[in-house]
Order: sequence, then structure tokens, then C-alpha cells
Amino acid sequence: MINKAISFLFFLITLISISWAFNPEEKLGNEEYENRASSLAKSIRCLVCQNQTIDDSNAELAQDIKNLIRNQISEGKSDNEIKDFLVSRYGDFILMKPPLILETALLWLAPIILISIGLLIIFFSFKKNEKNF
Amino acid sequence: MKSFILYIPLLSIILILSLVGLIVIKSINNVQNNKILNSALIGKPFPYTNLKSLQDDKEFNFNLDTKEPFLINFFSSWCVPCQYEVESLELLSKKIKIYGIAYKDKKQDTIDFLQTFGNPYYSIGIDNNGLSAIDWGVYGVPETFLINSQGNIVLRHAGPITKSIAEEIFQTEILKLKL
Repeated sequence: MINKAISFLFFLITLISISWAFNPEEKLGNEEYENRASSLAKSIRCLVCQNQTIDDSNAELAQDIKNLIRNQISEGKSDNEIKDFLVSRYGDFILMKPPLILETALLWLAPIILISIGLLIIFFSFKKNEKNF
Repeated sequence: MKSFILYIPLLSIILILSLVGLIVIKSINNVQNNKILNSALIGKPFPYTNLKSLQDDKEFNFNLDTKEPFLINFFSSWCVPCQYEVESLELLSKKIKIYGIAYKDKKQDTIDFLQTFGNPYYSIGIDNNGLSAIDWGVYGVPETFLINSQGNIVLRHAGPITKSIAEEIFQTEILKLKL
């Protein structure tokens, strides 16, 4: 009997921790919407902590932007519209993956350029070897 | 085929150098234009802000009928640097209208803050949930924007306005707008 009472108590305690983990005010009822919100949140930079996404971050601004994303999804906006809105407010820096523009061209093209230089070196060293044989 | 491959590295090196050149030229221009902290909203019309006014709980409005430049300052009673910039803001308020937006603050705390440190604001709006701040691209309080008579944002300053920032940056820019 006592054992039963104790296990019931433990059961109650687990219920309490579940209610702590889930904050109904913040999450969207619609599962599809909530999934979209969290995948979007993974591509948005937390501006206060900078190397975290707003999905990871507990900073207040990150939470606010997450809520704003949820609001805009409920209003029927597309992922790109929401991203465009945030970029228009905070600049490209807010995207974890920078777009290909003049300022970021170096970042995107550097691997291609470095591979080309490598190929050049290989090409010339082969040419040199040909002469030696 | 071989000669074509040979040109790829050469072309990429030319490309890389011209990109570096372009970026350098662009950043030099930015320094010359005195854009100390770039905001994505510079040169764009200021965002519509749907807030309640601190004074009378009615809708908060910028005085848009009189086409004149104004400052907008995001502040909060819990923000310590905001206390220190009140003096500079009071200095600037003699030259230009300053609108305040109380960011994530309790109404009574805002009122107490203004009584303790002074009130440089022409009018104050309440941004309880911080959504208006996101509209303005605000990172944190204090943050200040200068808007010209056409309603475009010309300057953004993140962090407290010290006396020297007020004199060297804001007064010069305000003077330019009023000419």
C-alpha cells in the first residue's frame, strides 16, 4: 500500500515536470506551424549571442523573434516572407547562412578559387615531370 | 582543353582581386559617410509603430503633420546606460524633438525613471512586448535613430549617447538636416 502511494507520488511529480517543460503560451497549436517555426528558428542568428541560432538561445531578443516568427506563420506568411522581413530589419547578418552578394562573394567563391590554384600547381608540376622523363 | 584549364586559376585570381578591391572601396565610402554602426534601415522610411502613449493611454503618434526631423530613442528604466544618456538627450532636445519608446518596461517604473533622471522626451510610446523594437531592428536598449523631414532613417546609434557622441555626431547630423 505504501509502495503504491509512493509510486503515485512519483507519478504526480513527473506530471509537474512535464508542465514545466511545456509552455503553452509560446508554442503554436498547429503542429505543422510549430515545425516550420522551429526550423526557421534554426536558420536565424541570435543577434545578442551571435554564434547561436535563436532556436538555441535563451536571450530575450531571441525569444521575442521566435514569437514574432510564430505570429507571422499564424498570419499565413511564407518562410521566405518572414526571412525577408527579418533581413530588412537586421540585415543579412541575421541569417546563419549568408546569401551570395558582393560582400559575401569571397566567402562562397574562396573554395573554388583555392581548388583552382591547387589544380594549377598540379598541372605545372606534371608538366615539369614530363620534361624530365 | 588543357589551355582552357590553365585559364581558370588565372581568371579566379583576377576575380578574387577585383572583389577585394570593390569591398575595400565600399568600406572606405562607408567610413567617409560617417556610418559608424550600419543599420539595415539606413536610408529607408521609418517603420510604422503601433503603440500606446505613456501620457494618456491613447494611440502613440509621431507628429507627422509638421515635416521636421526627429530623434527616436528606445530606453528602459531597468537599463543602466539609459540613465547616463538622459543628460545628453536633454541637450539634444533643445535642438530637435525626441520621441521615447519605453522598451519592455512597467508603466510606473518608466514614470519613476523620468522623475528621477529627467525627461528629455516630447512624447513617449510603450512597447510592452518588444515587437516594435524588432520592427526598428533594435538589438538592445538604449538605441537612437535620427529621422529626416522626409521620414527616412539617416542615423542609428546603438548604446548610450555620451556627451561627445551627442556633440560630434548627432548635432552635426541634425545641423545638416536643418540646412
